[in-house]
Amino acid sequence: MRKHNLYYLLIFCILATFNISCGSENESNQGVKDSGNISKNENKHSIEIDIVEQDFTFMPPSPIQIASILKKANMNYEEGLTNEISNSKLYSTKFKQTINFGVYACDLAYCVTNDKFEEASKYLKVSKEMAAKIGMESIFLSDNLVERFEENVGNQDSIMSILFDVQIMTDDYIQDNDLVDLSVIYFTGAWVEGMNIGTHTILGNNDHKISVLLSEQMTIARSLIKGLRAVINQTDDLIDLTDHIEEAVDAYHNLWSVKQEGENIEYLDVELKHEEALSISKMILELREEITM
Amino acid sequence: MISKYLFLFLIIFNLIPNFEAQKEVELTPYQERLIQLKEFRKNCRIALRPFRYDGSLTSHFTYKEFDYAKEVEIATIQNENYRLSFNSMGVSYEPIRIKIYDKPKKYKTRVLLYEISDVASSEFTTETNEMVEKLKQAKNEELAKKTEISDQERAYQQKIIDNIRLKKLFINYIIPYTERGYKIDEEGNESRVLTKGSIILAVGYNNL
Repeated sequence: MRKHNLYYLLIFCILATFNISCGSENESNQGVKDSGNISKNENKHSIEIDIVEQDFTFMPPSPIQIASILKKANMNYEEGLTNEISNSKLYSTKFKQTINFGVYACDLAYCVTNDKFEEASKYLKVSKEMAAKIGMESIFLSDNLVERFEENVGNQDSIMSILFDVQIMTDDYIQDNDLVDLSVIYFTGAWVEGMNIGTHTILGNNDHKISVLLSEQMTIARSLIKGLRAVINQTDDLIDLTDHIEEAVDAYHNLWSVKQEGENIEYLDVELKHEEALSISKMILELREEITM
Repeated sequence: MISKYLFLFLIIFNLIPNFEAQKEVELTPYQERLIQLKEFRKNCRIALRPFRYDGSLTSHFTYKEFDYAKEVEIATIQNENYRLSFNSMGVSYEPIRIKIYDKPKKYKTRVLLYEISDVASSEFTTETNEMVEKLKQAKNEELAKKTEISDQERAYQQKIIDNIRLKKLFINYIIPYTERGYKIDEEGNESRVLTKGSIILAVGYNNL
């Protein structure tokens, strides 16, 4: 019995010590709180937060919208146009991982809009893998996204809703963490992939809708170039890619169908001649190879 | 037996302050601000309904001693009607102005498509269909002033105006000047107080 009492006393002492230490922590927290209040009062007319103000801000269309445009342009799903899942192992630099995160996001949306859920599931997983490599894994960990996706396979509305959740969380994450540079590279990846899928269709198709789509997407490219040039960490890969996109844009603006519209090009849908569309397509395919290989 | 009850009491007594300690997690002003902005962004997105979400952008700005504008460019594709939802709950000092144009700042001939003043602590939306109509109206007025062009050229220009669409929009947030403020710290050092604000834009497109 006495031994037991000693045992209780020892535990009591440990707990008491623990309590005192927690208490003092509380006090110090209170101190922080008070000083926080003081600083809040002092800053009644200012909230000094470390959010970087950007000189350049551009909102490109989301990968989901790019994919839905492809669908609206009557492009049927073609196997083999998307980036191979196995290629994900090739991407060792942050630039490659980020740009291919965009590529895979577009592929994922392309599969979903075409009811290819089995493929979509693989692209969701590889997107998660890419996101983890660039420090954005939390997007896919919240809300059990992958599990929800798998439970809803076959239900396009639910799957689309999950894709929108991914998009919203990606946008929020980018804004909360001031990752504007990363977002420009990510959107460029999605843009190139959208163009790649579009151009493959053009190669064997004379449908004017697709050539209009191509010219429309080229108008976005100028803004992407501006964004890419504004990225702080200008790596060789990034500089090369920006230069190559610029070459494609310049070639596009030198096409006869584009030149003849003059300033009106800013406001009109331009229908390219088939051979014009083909020449731009070739450049797009080279761009796509450059970023995915 | 008594010692057992005493022991139980001491355990409970010890645990309560620990729970209290967990509740007292302090957030920095920066973290508080992020949580606030997240909530504003959520409301901003909800205001897009029934349009489909395309993207959102939070623009942060600092009030300076002179007026200035921050420009945001958005791509509007496929000739769709877009809804722009603004949330200015993060503008808690001087109200700002918003102007939307068809071209960037460097073009003197750009057309003003939408304008709103006194933007602060509010939420509102606008749509691009109205802006296209305004652009057509401005282009028609411009064409009417051209007296030295042939009928053929006029007909061609009119056809372009009839088919005009917006591929890009340039949103200008005009930040008014504020007087420079200073604060003195405990050691008597004087430093400038920066007043900041944030405005959120969410964009959605007509999915029909």
